[in-house]
Amino acid sequence: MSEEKQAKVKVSKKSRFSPIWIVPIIALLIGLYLIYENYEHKGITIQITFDSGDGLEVDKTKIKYEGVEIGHLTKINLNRDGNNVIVAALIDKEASYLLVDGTEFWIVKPRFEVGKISNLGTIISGAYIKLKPGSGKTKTKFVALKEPPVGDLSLPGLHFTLISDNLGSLQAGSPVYFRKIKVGEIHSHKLKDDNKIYVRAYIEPEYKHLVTDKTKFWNVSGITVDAGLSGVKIHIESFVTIIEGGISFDNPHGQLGNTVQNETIFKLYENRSSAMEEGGLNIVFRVKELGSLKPGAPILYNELKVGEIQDHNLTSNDREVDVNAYIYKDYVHLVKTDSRFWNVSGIKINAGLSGIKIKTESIQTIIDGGIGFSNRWSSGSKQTAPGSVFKIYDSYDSAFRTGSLISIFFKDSKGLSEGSALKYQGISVGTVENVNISENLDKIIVKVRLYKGADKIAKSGSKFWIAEPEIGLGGIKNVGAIIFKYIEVLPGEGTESDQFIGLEKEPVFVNFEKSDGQPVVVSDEENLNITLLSKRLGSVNIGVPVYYKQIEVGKVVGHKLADNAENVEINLVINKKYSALVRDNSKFWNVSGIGLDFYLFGVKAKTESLTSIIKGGVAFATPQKDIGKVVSDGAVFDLHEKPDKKWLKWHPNINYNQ
Amino acid sequence: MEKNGTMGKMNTINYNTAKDLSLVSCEICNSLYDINSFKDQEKAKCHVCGLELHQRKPNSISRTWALLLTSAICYIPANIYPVMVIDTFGNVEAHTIISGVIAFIHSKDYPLALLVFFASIFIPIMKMLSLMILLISVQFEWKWGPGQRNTIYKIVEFIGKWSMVDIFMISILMALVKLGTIVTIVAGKGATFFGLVVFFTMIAASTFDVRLVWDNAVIKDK
Repeated sequence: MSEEKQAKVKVSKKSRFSPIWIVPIIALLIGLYLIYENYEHKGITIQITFDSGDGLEVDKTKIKYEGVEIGHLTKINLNRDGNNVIVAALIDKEASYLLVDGTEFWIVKPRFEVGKISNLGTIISGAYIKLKPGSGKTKTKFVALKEPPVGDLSLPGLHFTLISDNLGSLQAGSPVYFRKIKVGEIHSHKLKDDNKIYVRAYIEPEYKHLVTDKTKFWNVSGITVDAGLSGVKIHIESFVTIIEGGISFDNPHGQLGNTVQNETIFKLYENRSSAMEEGGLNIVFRVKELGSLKPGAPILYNELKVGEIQDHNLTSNDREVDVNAYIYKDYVHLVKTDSRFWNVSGIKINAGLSGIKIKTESIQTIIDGGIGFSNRWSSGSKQTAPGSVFKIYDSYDSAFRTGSLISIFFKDSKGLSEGSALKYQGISVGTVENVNISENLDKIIVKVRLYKGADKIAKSGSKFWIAEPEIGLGGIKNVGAIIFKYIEVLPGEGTESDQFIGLEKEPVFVNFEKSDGQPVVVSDEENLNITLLSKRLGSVNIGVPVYYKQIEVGKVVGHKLADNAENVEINLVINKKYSALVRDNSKFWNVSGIGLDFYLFGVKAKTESLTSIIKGGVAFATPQKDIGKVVSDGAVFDLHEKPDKKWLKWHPNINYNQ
Repeated sequence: MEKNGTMGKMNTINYNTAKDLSLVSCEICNSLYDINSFKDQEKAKCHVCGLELHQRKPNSISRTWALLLTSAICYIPANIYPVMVIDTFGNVEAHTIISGVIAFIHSKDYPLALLVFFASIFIPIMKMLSLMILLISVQFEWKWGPGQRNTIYKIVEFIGKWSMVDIFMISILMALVKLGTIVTIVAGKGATFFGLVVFFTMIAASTFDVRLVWDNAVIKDK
């Protein structure tokens, strides 16, 4: 019974297939499917040769096509033969169609983009490999490009090339702006054999129409600082361009030209102003020394910037420097064949009777230098041809000093030097060209170039002297001469001459209020020249006034020891207008210093004038009752120490104005 | 089928198993029946609670083998595929169980490395090996140390629940670390398979009837 049962059980056990076995079968099937799937996705191993493995990492470096990851690096090996790197990459099966002849691979290095902080992943995950499919036969061995290929022409939009001398901080990916809106970007740049940089740029399709044959492109990389008298302007296209560089473009006057095709070549200008200023005039300045004329330095016409210096180079004989300048379109007509240009670089200090003038064209010219020009004296109205060569004068004055050269002999140069001015009435009429000692060392020869139109000064009888500053209570004279010595001239009226003997001292002028305001020199025969005899000179110096009733009527013009040494002879000049006041019985006395009268109730100070306290002076009086005869030149009088009291009471009635 | 003093050498106490006495007990309500009182022993049911009555777990060896095999199959992809994918700033790092342990060792987190190693590698393997040994021993009716084998089984059952530590860790990390582009943790395929390994070994352990160890040991001894 039990055996029967047992047998039954055994049979049933054996025959029974437990449904639980379905579970491992399913697991096995899933496993097999995974293996199959893995095989399917295993992809194709390809080999790419790179120049450098910089940034590549096994497993981490992805291969991307159109932004989609299609594979990754599996191995990096150095290739001893080719001195390069061979990498193995696993490409997804679905992407195998990309692995054909002509497919290009290149490394895309992570780049910190200021404009957008996206793709943070690439910053951390490092470089990746990008590819551009070709269209040949399937292959698995590739040689990578050294640099990213020229922009993908398949992208809609405009592809073109910009030629520049200077890359600035442009790089692949730098933005292209139109009125500060980003409308495209730079794909690549290349230095070609002609030493120019070819920049490949791309404009997005919706902005394509903005680029026309008239469009000008310029570099907006970095920061532009414009310093001028009007202030300092700092110009930044956008924060991005400081670091990444960038290009901006516009159409002159906002007018669109004809549309352009892909592959058009444009010039890339240095900056906006040079880009928009096409059509101006190129001229050349030939100078001996460059000075501070830098590229970008302005060319000024009436202190208005009408052009700029572009660059400079040595002339073919290496002796001079050619400075190439560009005159803006709107001002081309100002440049005539006989326009005169002069250097306005640095600071000009012009010291004169009117004070000290510090003159500079603009702050920019101090630093960058600059050139001024004028058409003063320009006779013709002929416009200059492009490329004309001009001379640059040292200064405005020298630009127009074309008068004759005169020589003046001095005993002492008193600090005169080349460039010192020759002034007449405070106005420069010439410039010292050189100061030399004569061969026998007895005098200084100063050669002065007169300005055009100032030749009238060079007449025989003209008097030249070196101005010296004079400071006194009576006035401050020739302040300018403290700093810069200059020659003053009083033109004569003789025949033309070019050799003069300079005066040792400034001649004494008697400002007799001639109607035309011209000073009259002492030797003028119309004035009354008289001589005073004095025991001592006192403070009667040359130039001190002669007073009549405290009115200045003349001047002391000289003094010397009398021939017999007994007296001092003092020469006076009395304005001819007042010459009738001097009679043969007139009394002269010294009014230098302060006359003090002591009275019971105090002290009375008396002086002819405040000036006479310091400078001294001579006063005279003419008797009231018995008016003497009118004197003529050369009359001699005694100079008294002090006036007699009764002299001061003389008030003769003389009709001197006859 | 009688066993009298079979264990005499080791144990002086004579005993009978319920099976020896043709008895079967209900696993739920513990009602006791004489197996011979049922006409069809295969379809015997408890009169109290209605549960099917078996003297030994039906098809225990076969089922356990099937489940053990399933977990063994699952164990392969569990180790090949990543269990955890960490995406930091787009920098995707996929970790398999072993690479995770290695990563912990590299970052000198030795306790964590040890924990993961034990919970995810050592224990599952030991569990599967133990069950396999038990199954083979029963199938080939080994008489060797039934007591020791009993202990092995008890350990396998007890430790089973702890092998889910790894899965729990990943689940918690996934839920906690969801910072969009910055850091995201995603469970990989491996985690699913690993979960299946643990699941199937647990069921395998529960389908194995440890009493068979003793049945065989006694029979062999006889």
